[in-house]
Amino acid sequence: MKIISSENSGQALVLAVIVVGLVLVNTLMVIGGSQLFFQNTTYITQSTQAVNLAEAGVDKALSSLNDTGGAYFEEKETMIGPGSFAVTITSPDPSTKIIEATGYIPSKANPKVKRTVKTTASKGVGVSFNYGVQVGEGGISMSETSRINGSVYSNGSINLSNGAIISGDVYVAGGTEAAADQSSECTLGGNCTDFIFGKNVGGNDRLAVAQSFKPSAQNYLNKISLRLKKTGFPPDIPVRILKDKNGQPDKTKVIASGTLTANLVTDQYGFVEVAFNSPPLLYPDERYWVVLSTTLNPSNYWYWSADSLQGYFNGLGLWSSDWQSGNWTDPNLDFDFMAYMGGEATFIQGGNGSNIGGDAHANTLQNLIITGGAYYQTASNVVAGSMHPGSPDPASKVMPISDSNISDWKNIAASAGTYTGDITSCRPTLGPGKYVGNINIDSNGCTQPIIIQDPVWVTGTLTLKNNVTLRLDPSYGASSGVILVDGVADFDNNIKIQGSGTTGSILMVVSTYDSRVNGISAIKVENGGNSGILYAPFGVVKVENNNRLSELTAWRIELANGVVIDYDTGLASSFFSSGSPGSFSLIKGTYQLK
Amino acid sequence: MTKGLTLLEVLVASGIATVVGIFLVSILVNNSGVFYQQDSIVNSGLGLNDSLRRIDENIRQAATVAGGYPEISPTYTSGPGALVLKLPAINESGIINNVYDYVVIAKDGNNPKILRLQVFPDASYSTRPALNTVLTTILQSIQFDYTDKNGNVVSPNIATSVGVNMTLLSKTGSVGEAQSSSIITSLRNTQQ
Repeated sequence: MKIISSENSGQALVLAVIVVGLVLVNTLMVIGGSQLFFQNTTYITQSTQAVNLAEAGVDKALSSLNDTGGAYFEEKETMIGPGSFAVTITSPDPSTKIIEATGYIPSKANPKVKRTVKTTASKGVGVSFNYGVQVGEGGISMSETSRINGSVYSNGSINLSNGAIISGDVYVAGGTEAAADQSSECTLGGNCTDFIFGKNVGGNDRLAVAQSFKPSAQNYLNKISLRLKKTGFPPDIPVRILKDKNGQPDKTKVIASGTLTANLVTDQYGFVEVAFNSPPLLYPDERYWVVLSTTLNPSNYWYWSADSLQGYFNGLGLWSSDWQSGNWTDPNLDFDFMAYMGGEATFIQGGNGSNIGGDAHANTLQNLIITGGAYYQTASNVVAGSMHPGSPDPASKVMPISDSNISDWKNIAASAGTYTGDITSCRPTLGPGKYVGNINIDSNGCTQPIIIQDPVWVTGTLTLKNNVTLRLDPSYGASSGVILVDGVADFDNNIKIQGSGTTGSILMVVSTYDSRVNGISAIKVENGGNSGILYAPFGVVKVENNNRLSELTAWRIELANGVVIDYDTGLASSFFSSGSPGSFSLIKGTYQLK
Repeated sequence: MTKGLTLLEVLVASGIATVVGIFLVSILVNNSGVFYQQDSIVNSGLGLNDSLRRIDENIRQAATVAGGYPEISPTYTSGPGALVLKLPAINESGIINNVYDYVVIAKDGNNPKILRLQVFPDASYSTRPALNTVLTTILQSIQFDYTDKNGNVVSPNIATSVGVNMTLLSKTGSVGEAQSSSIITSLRNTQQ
């Protein structure tokens, strides 16, 4: 008989127990890790949901402010989706609202996660000056060591000479023909009719509108002008150019897109320009469609002016509830539009020590020293950080203020009162109104700034000489103001055009004088010490002799003799309180996430 | 006198012990492999979640994508591999107009597996705290894409949205798999 020692029995079991123990520990750790990952993922998801709920609260607050004319003060708790949001409103001044919205998951009473978004809304029209200098088809002339500290966007050619310097990037868009290649415009008081879209009309959701046209020649489409007005505060909408398929827009052939900026449209009809990110090449006698699409909103919608007699023979108008559905209806109207073609070569011409500190983008570059990249079709005598031949022409840029905005300001000024007669002496204040005549003020008696309440509309000329200061009323706070001049504006020797004193506020002088006819400057700034924001959509702004300005926007700009433009980045979010009354808009740059 | 085991008995016992041992060890090895794989997945997932959330929140608050930081003679330049954001500076009252802080998200200069988030507040006015923190130490790749509001790819300084595609390595090298995640976030403070 064999005897096995009892001390040696069960050793396999010990090993098995150790292994099972280790396996168990590992398994528990895997489960624990999975639990941790699940909790973390849940928290991240809920955190994102809370931010989205807070942003929904901001949207709700803005909509309610506009629906109630500003009589909206808080939202205690509104349940939506996985959680809720609450809103509080504070008013630092009558035209400004600070919106603080908090999103809660799952509820305000028992939140697992909460996030807060704080932003500011104000009444009026927001205008973005994104460039130190923005110029229309007239282009720019810079000479005698004049300098722009910032970027430049020009729809026309640029001439630099005698040490002129642009420190930032320079864009010159492909040239645009002066007259529209295709257009349809109804006769006011005659065959004009409104076509409403963006709301339900007669049981139909009109959410997309299209107008077809045929270009007369092969060319690039640089921009479209549309005659529009709006009710309420609809959002920006996309504008697409589509090819034709069987007499309707072909949703699969979108050849260009741009954005219609709602701020450029008012409650009165006006042509509003839309430029495209990449101008499409169009062919003669092929049919193309301009398609506008928006969302349904019974309070905030659009009107497109239309010709009820359908006098445009190269196209027709259609509408649909969905631009991608392919179901279009003929309203028997031609919508008012103008199509501007491009294709004209534009250039940046340098010489005598002129240089560009950033990148240069233009069809043709000549005699330039460029620190950054050179982007072009044709170049000669160019020294650059990098060369990019074959680059497409930059697209045209729409001016930051539309004709409709200017008309709106003029209407508000006229409604504030009309004053007839020239003003030739200093006065402590200049209130809002339409001033029929000229304003011509020398320094005599002007020991204090003239306080401006806008909008001021001068039907004649504005001439300021020797140490005159125009200052926006301090009560405007961060809001900005505007002085509109139908004739030419002339500033001579230490003229200051100033905002309210609060950061972000500006006072802008707009001359609507048309220099394209006779070349006479719409705004002329002479001798040193002048400052301000100047805007001439149809005119030449001419600045000479060691002046320093913050921003210029004009059809054409001429700088000479040591002029310096120092772009102020705050101009990208200027806010004019005298826009369409009652409308609150979010002020860009005030979004905070807590 | 104690009798010994026969050779046959020893061989049988050894065979059984070997089979049982191999079986138990294989269980242990496989289980350990599963543990390390799952641990790696969890760590990568946590890293992705936290990193993308922090990047997302900074993009939301940005006024623009800066070309670089500092803007003159930059040490960091916005591009596919790095993101420099320009955020409105803040103080006790809220946003400070025309004053900006900079946030840089980029790989560590010495170790490309480390992704850092750095905050450079305006020295004169901002109360936003300076920061230099590690988002992850197991970065395989990160790609930033810049688009405008129509979805077109544009240069960073005119972008209104930033897409982030991030891949993290497995924690343990050969065990576990790399994991990727992506976000697209719009700049809420952009002027474009």
